[in-house]
Amino acid sequence: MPDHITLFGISSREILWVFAQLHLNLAAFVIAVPTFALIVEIIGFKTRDKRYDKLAKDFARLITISLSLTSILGAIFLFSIIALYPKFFSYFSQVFSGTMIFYAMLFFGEFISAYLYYYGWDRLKDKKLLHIFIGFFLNIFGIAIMFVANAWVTFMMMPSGVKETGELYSLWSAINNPGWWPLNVHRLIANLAFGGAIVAAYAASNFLSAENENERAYYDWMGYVGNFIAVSAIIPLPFAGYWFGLEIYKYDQQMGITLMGGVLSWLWILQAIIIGVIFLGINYYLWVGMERIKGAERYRKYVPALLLIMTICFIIWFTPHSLVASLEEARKIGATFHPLLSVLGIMTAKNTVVNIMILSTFLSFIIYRRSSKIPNTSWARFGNFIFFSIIAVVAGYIIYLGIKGYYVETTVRINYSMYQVLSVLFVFIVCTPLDIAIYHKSKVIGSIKWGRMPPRSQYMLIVIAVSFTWLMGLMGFARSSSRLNWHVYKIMEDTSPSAFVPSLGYAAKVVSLITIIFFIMIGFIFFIANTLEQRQEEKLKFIQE
Amino acid sequence: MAEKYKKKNPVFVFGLTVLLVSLLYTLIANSIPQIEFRPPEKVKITPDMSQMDLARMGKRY
Repeated sequence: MPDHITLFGISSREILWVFAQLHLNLAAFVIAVPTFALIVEIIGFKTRDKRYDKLAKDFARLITISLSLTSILGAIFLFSIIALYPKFFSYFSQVFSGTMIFYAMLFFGEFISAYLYYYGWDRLKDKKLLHIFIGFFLNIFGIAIMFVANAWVTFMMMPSGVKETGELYSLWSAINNPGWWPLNVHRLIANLAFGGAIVAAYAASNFLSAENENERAYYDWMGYVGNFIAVSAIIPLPFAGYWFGLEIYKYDQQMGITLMGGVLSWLWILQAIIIGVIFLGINYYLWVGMERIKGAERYRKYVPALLLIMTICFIIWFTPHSLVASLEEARKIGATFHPLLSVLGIMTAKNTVVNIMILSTFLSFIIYRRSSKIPNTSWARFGNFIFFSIIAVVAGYIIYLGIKGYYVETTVRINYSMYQVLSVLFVFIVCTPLDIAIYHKSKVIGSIKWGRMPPRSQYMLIVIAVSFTWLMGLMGFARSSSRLNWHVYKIMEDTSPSAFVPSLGYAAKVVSLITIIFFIMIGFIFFIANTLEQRQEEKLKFIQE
Repeated sequence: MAEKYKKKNPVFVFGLTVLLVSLLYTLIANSIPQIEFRPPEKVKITPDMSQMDLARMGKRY
């Protein structure tokens, strides 16, 4: 049996790379959308607000079309692996044959529940609980499918349950390998953020092409909900990523070094730029969104300060440790590292600014939430004092740990970054309910004028969605490349000519190609979804006439 | 806020944004140091190798 096959002169690696990432992007979307369709439907059911039901149905419309496209891509991906890497697939199916049958059954369940969920919407409108129950099962199937696929992917990085020769002795250990749960959690959150961003971009594109005020108002609201989901999910996302990274280091320090400090080290500068753009974009959208809320002018004075903090943090985050300098330039500096970059380019500085950026985004969201309200509780002043004191103390503590991190051993510094993360989590857990309690039964001084958003805010939603997609492609490259020339790390070597880690510049071209193809597909999904909606409206008009 | 809205073509809006953002990230990725990793060549030591061959092999790895 050959080790690998080249198809039409294109290397097997490129073919699989493109199909795998496209399948993953669409799968992430297909798993995320039912989750918020269900959440929005439950909100609509509880509040009896018809708008939520319509929004949830709009989300659900996207599921069936994208599910078909995802399965077609999945099939192409599977046939490509069988055809291009027969030896690898033979070994892999020996290890995971049981899970593969289970995967197919889950997929069948997801298909059935997705179609029942969407096409049963109107028919089950009087049996909402049953409909919600179907939606719940749709989500269970989707998440279970992802968990199975995650076991395969993480096994390739951190193989467990097999002997050194690759012989399987425990299927459960192979599934429950050290990377499985961190990736499950990371992808679950990331999918929500990604799905939210794509839905927001869909709403933005409909907003920009809206025919009238009503349509614009509806899509503005939809964009806001999508972005809100993306913000809520992206805030805890770095913590899940950190856990995954920690498990990689624990499993194999060499792999951790390859990922963070070796051949892939410059990738993290690019990652910082993209995440920085996403964070700035989300904040910008919230700040611009305040313009459509009466009463928000009271908080506008805080925006420049938040922007300044975010910008400083952003610059520090993408500051590299070493310079791209010629020999002559390096001689002029007089040292291996630039005196300023060596201070800002290391992890203690980066961990600090990431946490401050997350805190600032949380603050932006809080002032957006408070824009149209005046607290009505007797203890609001005291509550606010406690609220802002907690944020100030935590911010001070994060900076203190960041500075102290320069003077301690690496092992101690790693613990500091954990304390920083836990401090931010503490703020979320304590300050969110506190804010809700302060503004409980608050006086509303102005309504939100949906649809009164400048077009630039909608372009920002599209930029955020594209950045998310690009980032997913980049991180897919990072995770896969951390195995270097191994199909299954230190168990099964990749001996094909393309078994090397390409340069970042080359990877970026492939990732861009994937992003462009993905958005062509997403455009197709949106087009079909809009056509379906128009047909339904035409039918309704015909019946009414 | 009196905003004037001009209806935009969604394909154009989406397409242009996707192209520009992807181009920007690709340019940044290509302007930072390019590192590749290639697996080391396999070392084959056979019984008929001379001392000189073995020494040469040792120098390479």
